[in-house]
Amino acid sequence: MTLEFAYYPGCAAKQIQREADWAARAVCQELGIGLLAMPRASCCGAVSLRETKPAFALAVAARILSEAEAMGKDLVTICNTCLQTLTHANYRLSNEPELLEKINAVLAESGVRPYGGTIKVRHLLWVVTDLVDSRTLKAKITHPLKGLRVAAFLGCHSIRPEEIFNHASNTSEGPHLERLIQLMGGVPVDYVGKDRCCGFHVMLSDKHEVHTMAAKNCLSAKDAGAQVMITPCTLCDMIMGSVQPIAEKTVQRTINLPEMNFAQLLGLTMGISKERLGISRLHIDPVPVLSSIGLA
Amino acid sequence: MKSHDLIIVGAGLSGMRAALEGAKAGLDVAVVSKVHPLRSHSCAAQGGINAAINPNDKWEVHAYDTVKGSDFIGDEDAIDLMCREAPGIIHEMDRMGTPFSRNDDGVIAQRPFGGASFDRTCYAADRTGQVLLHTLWERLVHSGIHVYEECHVFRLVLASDGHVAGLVVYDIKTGEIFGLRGKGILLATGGYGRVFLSSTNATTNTGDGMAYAMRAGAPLADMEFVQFHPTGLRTSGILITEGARGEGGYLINAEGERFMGRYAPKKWELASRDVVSRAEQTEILEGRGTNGAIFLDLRHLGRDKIIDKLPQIRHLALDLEGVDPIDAPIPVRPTVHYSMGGIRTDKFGAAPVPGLFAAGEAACVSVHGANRLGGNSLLDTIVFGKITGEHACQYVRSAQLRDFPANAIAEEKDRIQELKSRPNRGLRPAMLHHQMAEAMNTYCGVYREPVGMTTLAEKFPGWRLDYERIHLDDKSTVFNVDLLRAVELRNLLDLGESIVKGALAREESRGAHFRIDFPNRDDVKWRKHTLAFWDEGAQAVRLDQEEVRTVGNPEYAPMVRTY
Amino acid sequence: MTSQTYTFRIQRNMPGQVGTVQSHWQEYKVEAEPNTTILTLLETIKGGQDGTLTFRQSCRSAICGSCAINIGGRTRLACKTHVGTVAKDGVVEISPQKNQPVLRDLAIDIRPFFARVHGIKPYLQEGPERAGKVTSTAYDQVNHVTQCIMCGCCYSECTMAEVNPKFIGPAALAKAFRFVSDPREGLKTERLQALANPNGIWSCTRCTLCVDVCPKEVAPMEAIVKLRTRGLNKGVNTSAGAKHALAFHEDIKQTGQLNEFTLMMRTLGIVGSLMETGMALHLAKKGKIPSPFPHSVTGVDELRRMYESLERSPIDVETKAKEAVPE
Repeated sequence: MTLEFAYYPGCAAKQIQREADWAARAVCQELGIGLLAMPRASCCGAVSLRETKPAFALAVAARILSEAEAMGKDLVTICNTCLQTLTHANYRLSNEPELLEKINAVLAESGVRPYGGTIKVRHLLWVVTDLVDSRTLKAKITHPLKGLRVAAFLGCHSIRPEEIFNHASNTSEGPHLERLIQLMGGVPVDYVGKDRCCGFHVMLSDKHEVHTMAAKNCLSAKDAGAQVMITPCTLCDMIMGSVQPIAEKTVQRTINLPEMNFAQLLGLTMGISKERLGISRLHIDPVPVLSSIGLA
Repeated sequence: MKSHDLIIVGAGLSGMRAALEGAKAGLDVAVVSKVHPLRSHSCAAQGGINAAINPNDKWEVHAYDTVKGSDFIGDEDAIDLMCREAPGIIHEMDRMGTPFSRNDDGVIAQRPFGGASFDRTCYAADRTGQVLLHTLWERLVHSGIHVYEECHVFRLVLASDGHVAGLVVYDIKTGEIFGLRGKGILLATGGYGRVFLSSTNATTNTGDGMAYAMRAGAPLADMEFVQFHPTGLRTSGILITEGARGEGGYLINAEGERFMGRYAPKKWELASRDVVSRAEQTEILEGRGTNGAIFLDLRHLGRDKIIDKLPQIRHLALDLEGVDPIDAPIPVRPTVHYSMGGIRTDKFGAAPVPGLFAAGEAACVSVHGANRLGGNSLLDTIVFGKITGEHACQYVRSAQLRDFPANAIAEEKDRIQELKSRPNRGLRPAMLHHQMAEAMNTYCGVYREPVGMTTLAEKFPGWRLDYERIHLDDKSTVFNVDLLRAVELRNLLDLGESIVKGALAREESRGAHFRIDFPNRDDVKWRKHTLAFWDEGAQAVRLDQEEVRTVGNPEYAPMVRTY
Repeated sequence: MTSQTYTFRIQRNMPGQVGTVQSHWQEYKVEAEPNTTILTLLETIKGGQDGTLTFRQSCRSAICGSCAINIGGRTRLACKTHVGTVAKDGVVEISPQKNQPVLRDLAIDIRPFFARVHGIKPYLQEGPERAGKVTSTAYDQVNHVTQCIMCGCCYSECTMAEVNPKFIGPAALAKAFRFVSDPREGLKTERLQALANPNGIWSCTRCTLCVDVCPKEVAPMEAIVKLRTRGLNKGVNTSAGAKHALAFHEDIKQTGQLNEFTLMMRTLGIVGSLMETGMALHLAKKGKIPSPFPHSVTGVDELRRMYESLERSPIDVETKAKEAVPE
């Protein structure tokens, strides 16, 4: 079975968090997952467009989903907020036929292919853990984590609301991210805060609070013994990484917890080079920790 | 010591509605409540509130249905007053912000309810009590009226001239015991479901106001009339609204038979609650139940209607009984639900102790007589909350603050200190409570027989002795629930005794009171209210009687009651 | 169903010196079937083992809001939570609500929570924006929020409340939405202006926890999102959060792409952006400066046409009702 998806990395991965995009592509290449470009796809609108123009937000999402549908591929993303935004829109458009009809009328009028409601929105993390055969995956993991204690920071927008994600994010075997850590040979660290908020979406309006949030969650993971933190979200990456040094000042405590995108750590375990994975772009240098297990 | 013109005890629908009258009158009104107002049990009312708001309906018809429902022992002046005021109350609540369900034309929707000859019950899905309670709380916040939140009343205090003087209050949050002086006291403390082991009621429903009023010399009336709701969940007793039958739900027995036709051939499931509960109990006793329950079947209503009109009860059935009513019938049984009896008042809510008023379930005005119609209790709480509040405000304008007896607070402090100082052996309050409540369920249920009731009545002196021997595990001051339960338990004992004594004395069957040895109604001997007084000397309840207040309307003449 | 022994590990809290609470954990064993509610078992413990164990409860049917406590790491109503669903290896861990001062054991001081609710003026007000008639669909918007029982589960889990006690919080904001969207409310715009102040609607992190923990399907965050929309529609757009949101749709309309450089500028203004240099410098060190001139996506004209079409003939997508709710 070949896995091919319409690839929707999200705005952050196209600009500030490019390393996540690089890592995703590198990992997919190793695993034989095809990531097809979506040249027409716009920004999903994130949480904000739904607030300013709720109908336009749905139309924007429908246009993105329609592009994937025209490609005949499910959509895959590496940004939690894109995931939630598109899943939410998809959930409504699939469950409310009248709404789909109205939105499609707008698309048609604007020269856009109407959306048929047939596309699944997936996170690359779910693809790797659910759709790739675990034996295939394990075979690719040539540099396992050797018991490295890894904090999974799940990110709100890939697990909530339950109504739209239900089984997708909540399996009996625990969160996808923790399963991946185990597959990579690491030990997931249980800590208070792993399912909480990075604060990205109030970064500009409630700066001080975001610093405190980042510090609390990182410290909680660190105090629980984490040596490195991974997230499935480019926005979480931005906060837990770049804000962490500032947050240290807010709470007046050294944190120094290396943080990276899940695809970067996965890439390292597959033996992909640090350069290709953009490890040097990380704000907290993971090399000292990684070299202890021969990964760097 | 702080004083107020009028002190209202209880912050449910009656209490809050009464308080708003005080604010309107510009008086110094305060509310004392052992729970935050939004925790009051009014919130658990589900199905609706009756009012003749449809142009094709008449308040007179509503009044007749209520007189008949009461089995001709409700006080007719009060019933007329309530039904006449009802439409105004609905429109007032609507203006205040209650989101009543609407018909397509925007008019407030109404659903059929038991014992009613017209679709007269206004509602907000199946959480009518909750939205009404929240609306009145919103107005209470707006009015700025002071609420002593999480403050439990320990005693109603009279002055030497017999007029109310105030209250001894216990602040649950701090353990402080303090006095409050008031020119008038309005008790709106609700019902006493906890007297029984299985009940739809909240655990806070301990009838405190009734017990304090009786101890202060005010009589309770008609305590033997205890309403069994036909559809309490089998395991927990939690309420499943009559609205479920109003929307078309069936009652079926273990054989799948829709049995109500054999008991009420015209109204079937929408007969009066006493009739339906007896029918269910008969089915269960004759072996056509399953594990002590029969079933409420909503499957034929379909998923959409259940989700739209009865969302809360679907969740309750799922959460508490593990049954989804979309797919399976809900096991239910007759369950203690409502007290028709209470503090005896005139139609304006005044009790025979000067300065004392009562409203809502705590009062016996009496608009419900021997059996309350579904949808009439929410109405009672708001109509008589308003009327009693208005009347109490008029009263306190010309009343004087009385001297607060110097020893009242000290006596309560001593009582609490004594309770706490007992060594940790003997009964816990919960154990004594369980004994009494279980016996009340067994011997004072849907069907009552004299031997069991006599046995039960004779147990009370012993339980009172046991009460003197209970101990508290918790000797602390902050949020001592152990202590509250112990204080409430004495109230429950007082009320339990008044219920069983009333039931034993009333040698007839009427409304919710059914004697297997006297299966018929006896209007000659028993078209009377039972009064229960506290006999301080005997430390026991004694009974008396009072005539029913009639208005001379020939339509209200007692007749055989069929549905 | 078979019964088994569960261990209840309960946080006990006793008031100590002024304003302090002393905590320890205590274990109790109870025999129960998996579908027994936590509240029933707390009552069993209190009535039979330890009368000092203190918690609030009343209706037992998830409508009075008294018994919200932290069970197995989530704030839930004890009366509707089955022991079997929260026990981990037979152990249930219970502590009071978070983000609230504790009075005793599992009972919190509810006054600060209600003070926030009082702060949003929780009552209908007379005023010029009051509509005359209530239609059959008038409450489709408010029905979900009027289900709120003020239990506090959402506030206990709120990620913003955790770091900012001044945040009004999900329950109070959902209550505010109940009035803003009630046709009978007279001062909708005034409310929206007040709610856009600091610690108000724009401080919600959108973490969606309140939606998932709510036992009554109120979806407070959805109400907050709608409050933001209504505020923007009424021209309440001066807060940083509002500008940020507006920047989004401008960018998407113009280029189809979110431009993180201009986004920051628009949100905070020039001065504000410079103030942000703390973070900008950290980003710059890693060469992470967003381009001020992002490329447009293919077919950006389609986005403009969609936008204009919806401006000409708006669609109400907020309710599932067939017709838009007139306000």
